[in-house]
Amino acid sequence: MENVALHHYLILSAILFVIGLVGIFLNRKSIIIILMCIELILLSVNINFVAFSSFLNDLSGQIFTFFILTVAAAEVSIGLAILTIFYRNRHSGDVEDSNLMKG
Amino acid sequence: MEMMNEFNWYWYSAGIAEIFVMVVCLALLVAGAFSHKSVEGKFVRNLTMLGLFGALVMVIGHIPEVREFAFPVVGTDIIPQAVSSLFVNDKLTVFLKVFIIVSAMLCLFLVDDYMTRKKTRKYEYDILILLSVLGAMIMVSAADMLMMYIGLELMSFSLYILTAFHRKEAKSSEAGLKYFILGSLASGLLLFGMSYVYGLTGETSFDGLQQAFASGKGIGDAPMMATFAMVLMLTGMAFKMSAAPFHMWTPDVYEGAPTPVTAYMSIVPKIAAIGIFVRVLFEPFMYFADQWQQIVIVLSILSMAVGSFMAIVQNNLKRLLAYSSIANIGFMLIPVATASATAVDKTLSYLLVYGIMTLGIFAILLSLRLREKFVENIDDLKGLSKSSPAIAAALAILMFSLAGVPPFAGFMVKLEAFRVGVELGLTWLVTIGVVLSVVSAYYCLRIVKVMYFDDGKDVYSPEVPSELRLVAWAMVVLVIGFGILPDSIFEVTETVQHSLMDATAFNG
Repeated sequence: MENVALHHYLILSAILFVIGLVGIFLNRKSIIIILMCIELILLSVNINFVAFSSFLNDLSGQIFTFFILTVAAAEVSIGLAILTIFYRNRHSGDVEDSNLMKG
Repeated sequence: MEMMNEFNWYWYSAGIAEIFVMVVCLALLVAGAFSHKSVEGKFVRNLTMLGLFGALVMVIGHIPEVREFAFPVVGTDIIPQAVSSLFVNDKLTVFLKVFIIVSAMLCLFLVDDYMTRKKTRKYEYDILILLSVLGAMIMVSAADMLMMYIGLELMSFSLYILTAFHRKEAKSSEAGLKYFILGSLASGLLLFGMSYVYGLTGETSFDGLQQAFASGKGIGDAPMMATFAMVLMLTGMAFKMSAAPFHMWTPDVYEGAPTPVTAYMSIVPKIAAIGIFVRVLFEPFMYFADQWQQIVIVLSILSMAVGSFMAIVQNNLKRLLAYSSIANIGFMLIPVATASATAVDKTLSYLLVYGIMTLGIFAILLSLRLREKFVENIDDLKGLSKSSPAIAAALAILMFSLAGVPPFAGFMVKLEAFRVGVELGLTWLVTIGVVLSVVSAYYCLRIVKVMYFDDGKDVYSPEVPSELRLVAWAMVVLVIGFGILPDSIFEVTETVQHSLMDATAFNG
């Protein structure tokens, strides 16, 4: 096995974070994709916390991760619920259809 | 820390008010589900009020003077002030929590009429309000990044659902969706910042971070990294308090959400967000004051400019109030931008008066119906002074106060915010603020002009629920009263900011 150093984890999580961020702004199609991008961002944060926690020999980072996991589950359920009622009203789940209010 | 070693379950009583609110929430969920359809709204409403009142009493019990008075025999240590280093109670948190709970109670008064007319009166509404109050309370008491995150998310999640509460209305669900996406993005940024802060210092508590940064830990090998992490955290918090350039969600969400939710949203989350923003800046990140000062100045200028100019072109009253809230956040940030903990009381007093004015304005908006539809546009207010002169006068007073016209409270707090800015060497920022406050006076006075000088043939629905009238007039009286006796606010906020100054002084 090659040695996996801290910066490998950090680079991985930074890549995931940027994919998530760019995905939210560049995506012009489905709102579901935005939800996935938000999950990606939270995932990258989790990787960061666990990597730091392991390299610092300190447990609080991993405890933080558990909380984030739980909160992310609640977050996605609320997001999907709101998306469902949006779909019922507009019969569409597209980004460009969320345009009733502007200015 | 030594506290860690003697950990005791008993310490959890420091969070007694929060625990109480949580238990009430859970109990009400069950009570609401099992109570009869015809009574569930009123029943849960009354219990919610009772729960908030109980929490208010418990929060007030944390004031040292009250403790001395209430526990003369057993001693003042009967309720601990902190749960290890996760959770604190000091004067700042007591002030903010009392403010949060009282505004939430007043906001609950505004709901009944609106929701009953729209036939969406449901008991879940009160429980969600209670949950978001709980989140806000945890947030202002947080002394650890984990607590801060949990409180923030609890508050935001309840607000996402509340925004989309009118689920049959396309606007409401769209607002909820937008709020959810941008809010989650903000929490993502905040968390990413937190993860780097943790990685650099190995600490999550504000105390620990303050000590770590002061001793140079976590800065030495990667000085840019700590700044980057701090900027990410500030971005996340700026989103939550809707400071420009992170304000994009505000107008849409304000417009789309049911009006009582908009009223709630423009007060309670702002209090919590400003509270945690100030604490994070002046406690863990005090070491980086030079850097965050620049950021706060930029946030302040942009918020004032965007809020003031964009509000001018709005026709929808709720959108206008959204931009006005952005502009006011800019004014509130001027004392923070001095990077001196002694100035923060001016932010808090501004926040207090802003809350009073907003609540009054929303109480009036909710009591005006034109041809049985709730007033939404500025043009709907035409000729209001003829058809209901009392309401027009109340709205005019609140608008003058929002514009910063003496002798109302809005003028006094704005003046103090500007004065402290000049005193601490930000004259140029204050100059910009003064110019932009003239711009923001325009849209406030425009409403007064429409009410008094434009002709309208429309007749407003006559019956105004007494609780709405009561809230509106109470806020008008407060605005006038604090305008005449501004020292009564400033004395309170000055005492409050000492807890922040002590924490900063400890930093050395």
